[in-house]
Amino acid sequence: MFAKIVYMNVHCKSPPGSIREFIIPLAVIGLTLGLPLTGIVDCYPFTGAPMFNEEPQVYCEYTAYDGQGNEIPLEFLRLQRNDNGNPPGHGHGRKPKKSIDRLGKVPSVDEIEMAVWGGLFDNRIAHKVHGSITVEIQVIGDLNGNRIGVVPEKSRTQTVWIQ
Amino acid sequence: MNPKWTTSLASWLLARHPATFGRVIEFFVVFWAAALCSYLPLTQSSERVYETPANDTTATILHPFRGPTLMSPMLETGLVVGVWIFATLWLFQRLLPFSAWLTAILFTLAWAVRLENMGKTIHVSHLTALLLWVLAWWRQETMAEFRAARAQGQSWSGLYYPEWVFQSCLVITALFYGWAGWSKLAASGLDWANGISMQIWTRLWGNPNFFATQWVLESRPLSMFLQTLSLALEVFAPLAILPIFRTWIGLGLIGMHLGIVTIFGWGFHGNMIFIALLMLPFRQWLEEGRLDWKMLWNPSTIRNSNSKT
Repeated sequence: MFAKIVYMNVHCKSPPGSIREFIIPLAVIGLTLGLPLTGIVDCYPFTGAPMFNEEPQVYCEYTAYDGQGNEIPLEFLRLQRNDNGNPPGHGHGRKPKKSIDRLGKVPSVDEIEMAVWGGLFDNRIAHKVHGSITVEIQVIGDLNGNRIGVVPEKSRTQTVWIQ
Repeated sequence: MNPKWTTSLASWLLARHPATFGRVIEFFVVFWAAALCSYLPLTQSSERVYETPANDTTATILHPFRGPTLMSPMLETGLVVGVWIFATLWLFQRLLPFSAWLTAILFTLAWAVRLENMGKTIHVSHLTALLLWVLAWWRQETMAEFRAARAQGQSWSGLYYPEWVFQSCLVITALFYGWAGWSKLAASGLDWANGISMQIWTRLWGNPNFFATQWVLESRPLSMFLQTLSLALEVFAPLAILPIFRTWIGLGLIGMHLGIVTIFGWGFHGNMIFIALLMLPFRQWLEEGRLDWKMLWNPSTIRNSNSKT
């Protein structure tokens, strides 16, 4: 069918200057303008261009250690950063690896605990960790109306007991 | 609708112009498409995710075909190689219009396959794909005219560039940036330009050794100004279809992209070139003979033209 359409287009053309020439441009322009209006944010190659459309005021930087003081990769604890400026959920075919990190959000004590336990369970390494995991949560946000940096009153260190 | 008005619009859009500008933008779009595809094999192991479940929302036109075949890295690699082959043929004006169609189709599929296998998205290839489709359609629709021009030794300057090609590329580019602005207004309102969010993105992903990164991080008023300017440029980007605003919006968007490319290093270089070609008066300069692309590879023409005058 596709070959037939191409053959017809190449060999059985209407004379130069026919309004038939508008078919593809109008279709592309119509979908570029119209598809996002239907609620479909991303359907590559068409997009509602949602990159950086959020306005995060804070974000968190995490560091995690086991009971012996060894640093643990954040991917093992569902604390890694998946965000790349595009709102998650649109324009990608697979879900990202689970994480509670999200620009604009400061997780609660319970959320950190659930994330650490979930990560250890997912990665089947809970049995390798003895005692506790310490998570340092540095909250980066507005400092003085001019710059951003670590906000001490919002930052904290949380210990998650494993055994 | 007034039939006289539509007839004049159709005549204007169908009018043929020297193809030089079309061939120049075609070169940049096709070359950039091939270059952008190099990103895919280089990031196959770092960006694709295999172990997570499928996302619920539509991501690409390949959404109905999700499955094991679509997950194959070999499929993506094969499509990329196809793009390189047919883009080269297109650049050398061989096998047209098939090479043009296959470049557009394979490029769209290669990036669709990648996005279907990612856990986050990027928007560097969308505009290129849309422009490729318009340009492939142009080459098909004017094939006979191109052949006639080539037979007369005028393959670059022959009259086979319809106005609709330029206007379509311009409208698509303007709408792409328009949506970028409208989605920010819809999601965050005018508060989007608060300066803090830009400082956060700059701290996270900016090049720390670049002076402009430090300027943004050190000054909230500067950050707010740049954000407000970006928002205004994107929201009003569709006004670029009107010649009176085009150059100013083009200059603004190019400036915005220069900032993005230099501070963050994201791959919007191609978009920046397309904006420059479509919104700055390159086409006018070329058609009026004030700009000769031959100067780029044969500077002696400058001396010759100077000596003639």
